[in-house]
Amino acid sequence: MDVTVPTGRGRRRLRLLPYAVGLVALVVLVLTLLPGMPGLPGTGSPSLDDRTQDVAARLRCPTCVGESAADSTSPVAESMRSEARRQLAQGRSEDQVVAWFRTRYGADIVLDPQRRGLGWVLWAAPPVAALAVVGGIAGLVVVRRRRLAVRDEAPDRADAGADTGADDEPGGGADGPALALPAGRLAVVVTVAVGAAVAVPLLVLGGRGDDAAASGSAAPNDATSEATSSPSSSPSSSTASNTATDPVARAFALLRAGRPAAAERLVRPVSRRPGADRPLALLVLGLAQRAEGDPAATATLRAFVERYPHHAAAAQVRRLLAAS
Amino acid sequence: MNGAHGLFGHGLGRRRTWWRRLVRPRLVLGVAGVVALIAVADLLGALHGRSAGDGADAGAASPLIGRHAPALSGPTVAGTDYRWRPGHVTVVNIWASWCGPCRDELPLIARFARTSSPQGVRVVTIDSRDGIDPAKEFLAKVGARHLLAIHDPNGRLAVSWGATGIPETFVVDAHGVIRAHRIGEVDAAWLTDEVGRWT
Repeated sequence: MDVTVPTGRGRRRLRLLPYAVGLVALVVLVLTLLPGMPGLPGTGSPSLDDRTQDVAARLRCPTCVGESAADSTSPVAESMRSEARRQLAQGRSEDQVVAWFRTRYGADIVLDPQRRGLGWVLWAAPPVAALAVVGGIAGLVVVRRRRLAVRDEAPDRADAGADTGADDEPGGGADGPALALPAGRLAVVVTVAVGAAVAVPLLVLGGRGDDAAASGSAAPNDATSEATSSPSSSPSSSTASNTATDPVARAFALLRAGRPAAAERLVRPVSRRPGADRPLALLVLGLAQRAEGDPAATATLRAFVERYPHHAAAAQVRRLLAAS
Repeated sequence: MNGAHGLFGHGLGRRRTWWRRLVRPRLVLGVAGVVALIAVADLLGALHGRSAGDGADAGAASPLIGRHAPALSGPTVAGTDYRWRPGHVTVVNIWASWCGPCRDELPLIARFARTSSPQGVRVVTIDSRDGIDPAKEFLAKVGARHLLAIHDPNGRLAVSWGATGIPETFVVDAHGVIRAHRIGEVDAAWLTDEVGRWT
């Protein structure tokens, strides 16, 4: 890196650089936070239509796959918007209306990213990452500025410092020599640490969410309800990507979309051969048959319970069998 | 000047400057650690919440089961006004003239209303997202002319009962507490069992 020693004016410009970087960091932070802020004071008070739309966007359409009540054209979503509008017009707050739906449809009806762990991480990741990156750059700039300044004042001493490296620096005093990293390297370490702190839970939770959607959390929900409508758990994006290749996942999506016949055709071969996805295949087959009114459903579901008594959905299916 | 050294900030003066005092390695590592801890705690919370939620949802198609029934009143298809009050075991059925399965189910509901009435069981239906005229025609066609049907043109009454589709059926006990919920068609056995449990 070839840097010419700056003149007095250039040095002054360099000294202002951290402040400029800080300003940029602030702007980036505000810009990333703005869209996520609910109830931002806009121009005037929002219209009833806007507020209805806001409430509907926070509610899941119970008969759809991955659609909010604001986006869906299904009858129940239309009725939900109509009811939300009526309550807002009566002077209830958006939170009150959402809570009203929650008591009637359960916690799964709420699509609130800030209330869920994964949503919180996703929400916080952009500003944290932006801060870390800008902080790292600011650190590097400051280091360079100091170096240039020191060199300018006392070239001999600065050269000596460069030769011996950081190990013999007093560093952070009480922090001790082992932790006395130079600031530039520190910025890199901080960036990586913060990045890892955000990325690792995301990856872990993403993987878990996949499993849960495939076997545990989604299946019991459907076990209690007919496939004609699915008060379902969150449709994770990983399920969507699996759906293209995994016939059981695809059948499951079909079942939830109210197409049990197609689901049954797809899942029947998988339910016959041994494999890791056989339990779920058998469960989906049984539920599809049940949705179609096929009397074979009872036998299929009973076979599922007998063969996989410890499956996450087994208790649910037992109750279902006992009820019918 | 050495490029690699420049990048990693070697060659600093021995002087401790204001920013060096601020950016202490331990402090920074501590902050990173706290951030990591929050992330992990949040992750555990999320996983716990997820499993706890599963447990709470288990076995109940509707979160209203075990709770007091929402209000059930309004103009009827026949043109009168109706207001339901607790005091009798009540079957609440949601239907519409455009709903296919309801063609099979509604005659059964009407029959059940007639046969169970001597035991003090009430049957109240909600005609949801439907026009008055098609609803009347439909009731006449399936032989359920005398069935009590509250007209719910925009589906708001059905939504207040947490209904997701049509048909759906609830059983409410004499104290007004919702005891059973079924999404989709019911059969005679389900009605007899669920109602029998609370009479």
